[in-house]
Amino acid sequence: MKIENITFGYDKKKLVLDGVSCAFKKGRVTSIIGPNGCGKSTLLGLCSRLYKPFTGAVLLDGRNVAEYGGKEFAKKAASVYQLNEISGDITVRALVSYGRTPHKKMFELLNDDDEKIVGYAIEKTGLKDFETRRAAELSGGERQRVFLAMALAQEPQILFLDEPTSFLDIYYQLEIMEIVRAVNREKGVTVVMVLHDINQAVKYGDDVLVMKDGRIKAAGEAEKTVTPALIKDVFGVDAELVSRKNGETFFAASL
Amino acid sequence: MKMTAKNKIIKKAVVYGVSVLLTLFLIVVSIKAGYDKATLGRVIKGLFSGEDFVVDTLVRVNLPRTLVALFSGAALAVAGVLFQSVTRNRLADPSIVGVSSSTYTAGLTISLLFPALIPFSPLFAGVFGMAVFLLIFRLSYSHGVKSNRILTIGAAVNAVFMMIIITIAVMQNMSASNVLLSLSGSLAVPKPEVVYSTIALSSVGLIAALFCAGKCNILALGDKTAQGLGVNVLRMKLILAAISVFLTAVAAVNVGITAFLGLLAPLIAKKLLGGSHYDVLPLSAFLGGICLLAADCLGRAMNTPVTLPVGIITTVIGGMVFIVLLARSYKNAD
Repeated sequence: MKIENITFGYDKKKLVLDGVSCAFKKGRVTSIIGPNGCGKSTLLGLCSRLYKPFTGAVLLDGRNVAEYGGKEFAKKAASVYQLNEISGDITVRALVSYGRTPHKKMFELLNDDDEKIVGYAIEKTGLKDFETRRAAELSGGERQRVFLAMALAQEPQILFLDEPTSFLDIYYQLEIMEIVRAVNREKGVTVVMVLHDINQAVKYGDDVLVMKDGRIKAAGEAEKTVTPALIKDVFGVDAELVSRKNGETFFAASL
Repeated sequence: MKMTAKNKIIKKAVVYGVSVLLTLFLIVVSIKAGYDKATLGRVIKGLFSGEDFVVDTLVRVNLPRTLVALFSGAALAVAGVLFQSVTRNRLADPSIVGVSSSTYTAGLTISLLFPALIPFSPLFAGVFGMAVFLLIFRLSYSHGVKSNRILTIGAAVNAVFMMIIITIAVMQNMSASNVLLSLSGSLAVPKPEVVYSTIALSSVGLIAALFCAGKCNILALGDKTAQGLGVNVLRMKLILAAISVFLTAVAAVNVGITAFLGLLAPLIAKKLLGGSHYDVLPLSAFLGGICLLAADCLGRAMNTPVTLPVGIITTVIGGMVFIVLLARSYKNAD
């Protein structure tokens, strides 16, 4: 996916994104990070067609996303947001099955292939035991996995995640991240995710896109791009790279 | 809580079965209403044989009223379901945002100025109501419809139309009690062409609504997720709103503004069979018809000098149940 010179604002007078160009590499996981209000979720919203840019274009497979039909686009790109709503007594499996909607005509029923794909999504997200449960009864982490499974059932080539873990406990955060990575490795799905946690962004992202004030500050391979100097510049905190015994490194930050 | 597929089917069968029986029962009661000598048994027998003179007369007098009540009730209830899908607010009702009152205004104007057009007044009222709704929609639109904004702007629009209705009534020298009676829903013997147009137009709207059940289910997941699944959210909402306004118009023109029905029937339907619109839409239609017909039967059965308008009865009963449900849902939320 390519983004060419986009400007956009929720209000005509105030631009949130001002001349942003970047690209998300096929088959890789890209984390977008930046301080609150830097426009990272907005950028994702433009990629997933929630908003239309004032100028510039978002290209998927070389074609402007604005030219795709609704279903056509939904077959290629799926999104998971930070807050999701569940109403009524719908079961987990039924909810995940909605992911097949873009592949079906208006009253077409799910066939065996669809059921297989839904089954795979449920399996991958560890929801096998919850299948027949009412989705509304699940915990936050389990719910988020349901919506991730729904997105996987769309069989997208690119998956957008907008702060998918922001309201979750650390255990569920890591769980979601592990699932996303596993799907990326197994199916080659391109993943673009907006994250709050710098360490998770670096650990689970192959690439990072660092934003500030509606512009791109840095982009490239995660571990090479994110440095204490960059963190100081973008977030205004002092960060130190610390090594764990198992060889993993992480940033410890202080004011 | 696990619910096996078999239990679910049994529950559905029971709920629909009871609804159908209740509807049939109310049809008979409604036809018999006001004539004590016709026992239930006699009416049922007469309906099938067609040879009972008294029953024949009752059918001629009361059947049109019965049918208009059933179809208007169904139309209002389904209009409520669709409206709640559009606004994503389960307490939204076409009567709250001025759709009912604006369509009623149009209907009233037609009946006063162009009486020949009365059978078609739901159509004109529907177009007018849609124009008003689009205005409300436009005013409350900024990066997606804000559900609360649509309710507050709608309430203001509603107030304006209520004043217009009263102004028209005053200019026509209608007595205050007549205005109130027709506003809150009267089902006094309708003309045959009104009966036909009500049945035909509300059936069209109801069928159109059923075709949207799947889309309503997806819209319930939130605008962003629905968009992500390939639904054109804005277009879909406008289509649903158009059907909802049209159905409201059909009912408002015939029975006035029956508040709460569009709220109450869907609430009960969702409580009984859960949130899938494949169930909520048809069941709400049944419940709406049942409620309005029951209210009308009750209104006629009470010994008041003037038949109590259905609107008053639905508002009193519906209002009380509504408050209880609301209080309970707050309790659950705590």
